[in-house]
Amino acid sequence: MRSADDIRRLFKNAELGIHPGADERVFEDVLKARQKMTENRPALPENMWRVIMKSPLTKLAVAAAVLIAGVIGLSLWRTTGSGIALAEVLARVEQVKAWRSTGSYTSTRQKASGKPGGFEARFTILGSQEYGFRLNGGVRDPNGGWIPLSEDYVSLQKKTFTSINTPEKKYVRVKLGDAGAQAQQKMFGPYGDPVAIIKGIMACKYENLGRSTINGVEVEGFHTTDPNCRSPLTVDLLKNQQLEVKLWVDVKTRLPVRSEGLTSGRDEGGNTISHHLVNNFEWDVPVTAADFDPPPVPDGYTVVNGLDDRDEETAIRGLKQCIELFGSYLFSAAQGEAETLLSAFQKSETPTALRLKEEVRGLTEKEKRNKLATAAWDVRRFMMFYRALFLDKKDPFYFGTFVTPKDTDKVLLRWKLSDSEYRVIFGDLHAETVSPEKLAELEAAVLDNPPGLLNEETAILGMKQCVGLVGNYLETIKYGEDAMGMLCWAYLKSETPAAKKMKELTGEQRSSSELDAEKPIFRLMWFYVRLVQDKKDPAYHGKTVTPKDADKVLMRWKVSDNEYRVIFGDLHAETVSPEKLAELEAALSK
Amino acid sequence: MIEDKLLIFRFKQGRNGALRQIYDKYKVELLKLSVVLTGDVNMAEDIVHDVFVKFAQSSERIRLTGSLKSYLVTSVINRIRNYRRDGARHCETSLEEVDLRSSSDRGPLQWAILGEQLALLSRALQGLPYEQREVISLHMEMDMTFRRIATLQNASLNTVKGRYRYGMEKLRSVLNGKVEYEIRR
Repeated sequence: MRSADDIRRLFKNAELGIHPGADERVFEDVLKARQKMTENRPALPENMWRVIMKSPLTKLAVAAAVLIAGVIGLSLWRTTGSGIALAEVLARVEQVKAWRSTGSYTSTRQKASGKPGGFEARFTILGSQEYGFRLNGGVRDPNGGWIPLSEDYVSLQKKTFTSINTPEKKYVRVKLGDAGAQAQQKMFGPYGDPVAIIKGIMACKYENLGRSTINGVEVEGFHTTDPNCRSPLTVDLLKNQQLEVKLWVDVKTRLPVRSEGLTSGRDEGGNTISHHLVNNFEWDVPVTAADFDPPPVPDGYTVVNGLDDRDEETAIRGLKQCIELFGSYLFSAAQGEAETLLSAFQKSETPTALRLKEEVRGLTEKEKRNKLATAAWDVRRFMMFYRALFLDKKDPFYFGTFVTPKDTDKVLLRWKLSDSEYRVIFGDLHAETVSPEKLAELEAAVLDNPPGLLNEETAILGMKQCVGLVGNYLETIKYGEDAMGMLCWAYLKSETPAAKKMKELTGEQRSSSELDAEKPIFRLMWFYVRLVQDKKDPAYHGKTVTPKDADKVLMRWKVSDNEYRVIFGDLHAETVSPEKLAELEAALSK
Repeated sequence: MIEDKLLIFRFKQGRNGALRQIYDKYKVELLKLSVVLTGDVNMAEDIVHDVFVKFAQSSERIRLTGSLKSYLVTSVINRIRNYRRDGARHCETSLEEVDLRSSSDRGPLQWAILGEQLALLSRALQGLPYEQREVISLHMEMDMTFRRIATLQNASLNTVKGRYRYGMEKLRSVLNGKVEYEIRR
């Protein structure tokens, strides 16, 4: 045994066999762990509103109708008469200073495994425009009783949020910024915030249901089945979304009496149907600020100081800490927190990182991670801020890969404030509010540099690379995990010479060749992102067009009001009029 | 590897078939790594079992970027380090104590069946300090570069190269004579 090669050979030749019976048992454990995680997610609500906001639903329309009839148990009769406008109801509700309501949320779930699942929750909410919200919630236990789940308090005056989690005995308190207070307020919508419910319906296509009676009160109904409706009473779905939202208003007082939302759909966990009911409204209840103050920490509860993940200052502090700890901005703000931090920390040689590395020397992995998590507290808050922007659908985008602290005029992070305004944090961490047009200009500057020029040539090179690598165009080039997944899938099936050659390689060599091969395709995707950002009306038809289609539009974008640039299937490009483009695209559907 | 990215993509979509493919693709490599590092086949099985169980629950955290193999190897390494630091397992196992029976004589519950060469190699490696063992195994078995190992060990490149050099010298002397026979047999 002389050389390293001999030892390497010994490593490679050393065999390990697998006992098939035990192998199946181990995989069963792995699969069970996976299924348990999927199944337990909805059954163990960490916080009720989070479950309700996320819960996926089914389209079991018949069952839904039965469920509603069973739950409501009311005699409804209709008249043809109608005289109430929802705007009028909204105006009336906005005059109310404080209200109380009770409600329930039922989620019935048919899991992929065939087992039934779901849960039933009920809640009481006290709301005040001046002071805040207070919510008490519980879930039904398997024996038919009720388990208290949480008590949540939002004080608009003190700008605090407190959540007392009964099953986990945790007392979470958070100091809120303005945006955080607003976001918390919004979270209470599903529990019967009448203003949020009415605004939700008004934003959809809705119809008048005519008149009925509920518990002897004459009411007029409104309902919507608009699939794009984002009422607080409905849930965002993954597939086959069907929903119905109803609101019944007292004809005399013009105030809501009852509201309900029914949503159905399907996700990877199976079919689910949810019914959301808010009733027993009490209007103008007397309240004081003290009604929204949380009680002291109960005995045996752990106090957790939570984070306000909506505060811009949070983001800036976190980005500053990125530089101190890692010497640059993080590659991604949305990746798994621990992995991203650890990998950036290990590569970093900033004085702060070196000091910390010295401190953690000799500690266990777990202790090291904990130490890093504490040291990178602000960075973690920034990641939460970014995640919150996504949850709030504020169109965030982070350019950490391309921007350094010296880039005073480059967009590092942006998010939408309104249709006409975006908030931007620049590379040097100053922040400004800009128009969408200005933002497009700024982002074009970011994307023009480090990744290379993004232009027509980029697009053609990327498409050529697709053909070379997978033999055809990708079905989608919209940057994201779907497109990346499709690229991977097509490559694996591909038998083009380029793909075959790469697949013959092994180890690091193969990885690095594949990474190089991906790059032009990702640049094509970035180019498309930029066209969308620039509002250049881009379209891509990779699903129907092949490299042989010399006269079919593969991709196009607007150059001016009178001109579109078109890349055809054979990758030649032309500028055409909008009329000619319409003709060319009409031919695609034939 | 693009193939791995696709597997992760499908795993994230909730497809159990992808999980099975990942499991089948990496179980042997990870078990081998775990055996040579721990010198205890039962512990090695526990570690790889736990790594896959944890992985199965992590679909939301895993991203398409990064290497699946590195992720799994790092998980195994971290778990071994934790095992080594926890409780009774702190003690270095002596060469006489290690459970490295190479044939299928560990009863019906055994998962890994060690070939003779693997048992021999693992025994020999147990004579090295753990850090040296880790560098040699990751470099030889997992084809990991010294730079990546340095990142994983949170050490400088020179330290890692030193660990490799000293480790190889010692491994040669332990194996001297025995392995020549084994590999040319």
